[in-house]
Amino acid sequence: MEIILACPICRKVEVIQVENAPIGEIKSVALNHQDHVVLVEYDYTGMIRSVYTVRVSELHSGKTIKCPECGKEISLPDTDFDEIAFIHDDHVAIVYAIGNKYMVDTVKVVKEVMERVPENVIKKACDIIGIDNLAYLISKILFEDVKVVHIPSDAVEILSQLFGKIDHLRHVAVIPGELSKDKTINITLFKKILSEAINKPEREAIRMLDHTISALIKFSEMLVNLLKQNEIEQARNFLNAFPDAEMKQALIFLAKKKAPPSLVNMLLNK
Amino acid sequence: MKTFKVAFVGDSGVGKTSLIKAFLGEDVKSVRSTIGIDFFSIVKDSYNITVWDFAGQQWFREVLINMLQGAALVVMVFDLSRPKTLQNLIKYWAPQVKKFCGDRTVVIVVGNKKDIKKIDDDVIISAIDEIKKNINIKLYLQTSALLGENVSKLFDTIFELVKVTQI
Repeated sequence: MEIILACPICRKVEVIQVENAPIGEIKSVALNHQDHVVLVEYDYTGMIRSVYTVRVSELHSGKTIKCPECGKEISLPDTDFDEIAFIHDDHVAIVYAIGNKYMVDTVKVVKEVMERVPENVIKKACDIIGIDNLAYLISKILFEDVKVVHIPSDAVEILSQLFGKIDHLRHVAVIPGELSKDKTINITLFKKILSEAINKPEREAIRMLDHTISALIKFSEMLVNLLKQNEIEQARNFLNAFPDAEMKQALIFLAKKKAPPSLVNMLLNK
Repeated sequence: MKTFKVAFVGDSGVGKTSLIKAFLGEDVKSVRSTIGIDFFSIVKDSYNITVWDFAGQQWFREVLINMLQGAALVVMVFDLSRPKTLQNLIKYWAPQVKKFCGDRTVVIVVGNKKDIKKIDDDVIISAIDEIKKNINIKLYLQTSALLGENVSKLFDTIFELVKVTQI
């Protein structure tokens, strides 16, 4: 399967070909970026679970241990470290310092297969209709349970493509027409998410937007349920637990739409 | 009925959701990455625990981590086949548990995926000694959600500790 990722250090976007991960396991591959390696962990669905970097070791004269894969001797630094990488041709040996012990893990090195990465569909959509307008459309669909949106004809194709990739937007019909905006709709959460997503590789950007929407729906349902059960204090604690102001605002906005006003007032008036 | 909040934390893909689903008798093979937090309610002997299953992915961690507050018990899970996930218990999760739950909250450390274990026991013991300096670990357990190994023991212990501590 194919994976697209961005190196957290040098920001290089790469497309790599990897073996499928068995069900229940997380597989790792490494990319050699000279002074650091990028470690990518993915699951059986091809979803990236984590991407992190490890510094590649220079020559050291400290304690030596053997690479479990090829038997090469590894000289550790004399100074403290959390983890350090040693590139051995087709694999990389990562030495982890855990407590007062060392552990060596080996990961297969893969090479980039494609230099040009397909353009991020969220970025394309934002380039055509603007971040504010796209944030508005997504917010309106979710906050008002809209099934049809009217947008300028030059954006219909790209928005249909984008909505098709997001679980909760897939059912929305995109029709050419004039985009009229209701200024009471709160767009801050999705404006923030889209601003971050346009700078990421497409798969990561889509996942970020998709997960934000799913999380917002899940959390708003929880908040509304708490309110409807008259658990005002618990609802307030739940809401206050969100450090993210934009998510909190969106939840309040949704609560106002879906819960009785008297309960929402109780939630907010203390 | 008394209700207690039990939080499952740890890196993405260590098997937090699989452990919970294995205990509930659900299919663990189709488990996917958790979005935000999932909630499970489990009742035993007039005790009700609400399991807060936190997403391990970094983006969600940053948004949701302070929801650890109020947990009566925390289960910190790592993957016995991935040393980085054990190191992250020391470097990231234990400090977060201490910050949001305090150093007296009862903690269980679980090494999951025993069926594909790669990390030596002496490394694990050393890590747990390090974590113990900051938080209150009551038990370390190796499990396999896939094979159902030690899963019941984990949840029996959770209920026992909740009862004993009466937090």
